[in-house]
Amino acid sequence: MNHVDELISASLSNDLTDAEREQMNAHLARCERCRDTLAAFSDQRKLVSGMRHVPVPRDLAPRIRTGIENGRRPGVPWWRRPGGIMAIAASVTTAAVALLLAVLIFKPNSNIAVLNSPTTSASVQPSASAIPTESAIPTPTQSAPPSSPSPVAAGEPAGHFSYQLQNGAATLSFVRGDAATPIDLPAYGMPANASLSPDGGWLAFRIDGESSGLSQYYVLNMSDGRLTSLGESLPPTYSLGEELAWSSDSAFLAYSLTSRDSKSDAWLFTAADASVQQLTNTGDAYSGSWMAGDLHVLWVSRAASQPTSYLVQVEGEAVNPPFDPSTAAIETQPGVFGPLVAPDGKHAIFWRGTMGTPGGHWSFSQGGMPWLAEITGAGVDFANARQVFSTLAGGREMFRGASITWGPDSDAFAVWNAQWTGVPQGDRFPDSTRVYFGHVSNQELITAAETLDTPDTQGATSIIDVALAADGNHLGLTVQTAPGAEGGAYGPSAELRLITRGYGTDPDKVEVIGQGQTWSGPAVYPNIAQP
Amino acid sequence: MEDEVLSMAFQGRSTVDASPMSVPRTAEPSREAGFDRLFEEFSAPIYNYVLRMVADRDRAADITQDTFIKAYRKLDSLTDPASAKSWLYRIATNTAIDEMRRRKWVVRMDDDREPHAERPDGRPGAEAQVMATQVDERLQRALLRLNPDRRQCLLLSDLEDMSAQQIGDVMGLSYGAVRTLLCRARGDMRRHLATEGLTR
Repeated sequence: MNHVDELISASLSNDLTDAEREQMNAHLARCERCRDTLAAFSDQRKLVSGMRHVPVPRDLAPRIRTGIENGRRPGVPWWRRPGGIMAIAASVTTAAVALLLAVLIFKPNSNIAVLNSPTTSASVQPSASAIPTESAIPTPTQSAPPSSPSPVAAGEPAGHFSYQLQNGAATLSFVRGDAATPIDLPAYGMPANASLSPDGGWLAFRIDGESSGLSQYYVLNMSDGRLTSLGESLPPTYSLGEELAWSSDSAFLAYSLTSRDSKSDAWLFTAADASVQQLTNTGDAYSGSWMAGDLHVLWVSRAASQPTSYLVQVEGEAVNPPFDPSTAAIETQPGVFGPLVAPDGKHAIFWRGTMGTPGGHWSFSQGGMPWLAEITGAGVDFANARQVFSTLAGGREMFRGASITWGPDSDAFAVWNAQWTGVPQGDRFPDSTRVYFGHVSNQELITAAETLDTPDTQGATSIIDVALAADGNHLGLTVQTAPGAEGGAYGPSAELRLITRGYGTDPDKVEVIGQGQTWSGPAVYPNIAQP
Repeated sequence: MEDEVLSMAFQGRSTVDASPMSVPRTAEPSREAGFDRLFEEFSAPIYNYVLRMVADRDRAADITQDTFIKAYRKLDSLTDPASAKSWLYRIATNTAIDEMRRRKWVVRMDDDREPHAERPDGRPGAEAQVMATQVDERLQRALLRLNPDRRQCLLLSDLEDMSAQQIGDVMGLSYGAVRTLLCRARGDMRRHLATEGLTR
């Protein structure tokens, strides 16, 4: 596509200025290819505008009337309605899970010793509330999380989730080695995101596709198996606000929840008493990540046509959540959204661009692009940031959003679900179904050369999660490979693909976990760099 | 026509004796009259637009139903009659996108059928109708190969005859971004139509 193609396209809906029309006509007079394009686009418009009109179903008006009268919640598709697959999940018995969980997950292992052996048995107490409340929060844990994990084998995950819906029975497990330990939830869905605290004591995760249509967030105490509900949220859209961000000392987890009416706010989990509190109250705020160090300062961004990020302190007398981050900020950065600080605190990836709410949820509407900034003693050097996709033009060409994660080594990072609206460069770059694996030490950051090999993501209908190992050369890709079926005969399928990146022209090695009608992943890697 | 109808709707004046909707009679009459007008004016275009987005009549009906229920609940937020069309299409688009996003988890058993395929009419003399149906199905297949953003943009332009500015209002994009997106959509569609043998 070129500039003249765009003029030709716009001419069909009379979206040209006089000067543009003059320019287009002058070009058409001497260019046969563009005359062909005009003819093809015109034919196409006639075809689409002439598509057959299908009468509205006769029962539509009564259905709407009934819906209004009954106050039926709109937006719930057939497969989530009562009697759908989730009614089946609800029939799963509630077993005494925690003891088994603790014994199986935390059994000492010569290779993986991130987790402590159990010290107590306790019943799992998930919250059933829409938004976490004090009453829904379990009592404080009886044992402190482990503070000094042992190293794990290079590139090896500490474990992964496994979910299965088969012939009416739903199970969610955490798998480590050959041991699969069930996790009991009030309703089941597909695990889609997970983050282990740096000290290995807590595992935060998100479940999608549950009967309410909302994503459910939980945190698991890895010492005693207690489960705390972090709340529920509309699923992240365009991957914005999906971070589960642990502070470097594992004292806090920051995350974002979006209510049914699309109001987003930052929330905070405090490990010391397993409590949950709403951090912001503006309805347009997303938690970013923590600055390194013990000060517990967090980036929170407010989405707007021109977004702004605020550095806020979450402890201290001056802090009284929930608050408007603009009034609580110790630093304000207009034009910056979602800073994601590397574990070592030396770099941050963030977004610039104009935002809008095209799907009822915030995303970038113009110029959306991730950038990499250095962090110095003076803070994040946003002014001298580099574009992460160094070869892309920006401007009208933009990302709606993308998922980004840092590797524990603070050099590697991955980008996926890259929703690029511009001209693909060469062989479909960027592509939302591929994974880009960059390194800060590579001056070009991400180009098409940083695309993971084709077999790594082949057959994937979507990339669910990417987790990076501490050695900077291994990745755990969770890729959806098939949808599920109506009636609960079987659930959606996802494979966990453990990738060992090949050097030079060597192909990547791919180990696949969980083929068939199971959901395997996400993988969980220790969230610390190798010693 | 559209502005006139909607203007009356928001003033609560009714020009139709028997509303096809007959929404709850306990509610405020002017509000109901306004909603009835919206439904009467837009239910068919919205249904057809959504149908072309998802290529499934049942899903299109569900999404249209949810669109109008949401619209009813949000009616108070619509203060400018002139923006009613963009407002309603935005709700429909968002509802369809949400449904498509959720639906990626599960697919119905009968989804392997052709997209909203019609059974050929077996009556004598129906050849022209069969031909038209076949073209329609090939067009729909080409549309389905577009990514959702591009499909939506193309449909709003070519099916709904919206300007770049109106499409921007619906999709939350700038005027320039819509022009770029639309051009990409047309380029993709040109290739897909060629695959279906529908272009010169």
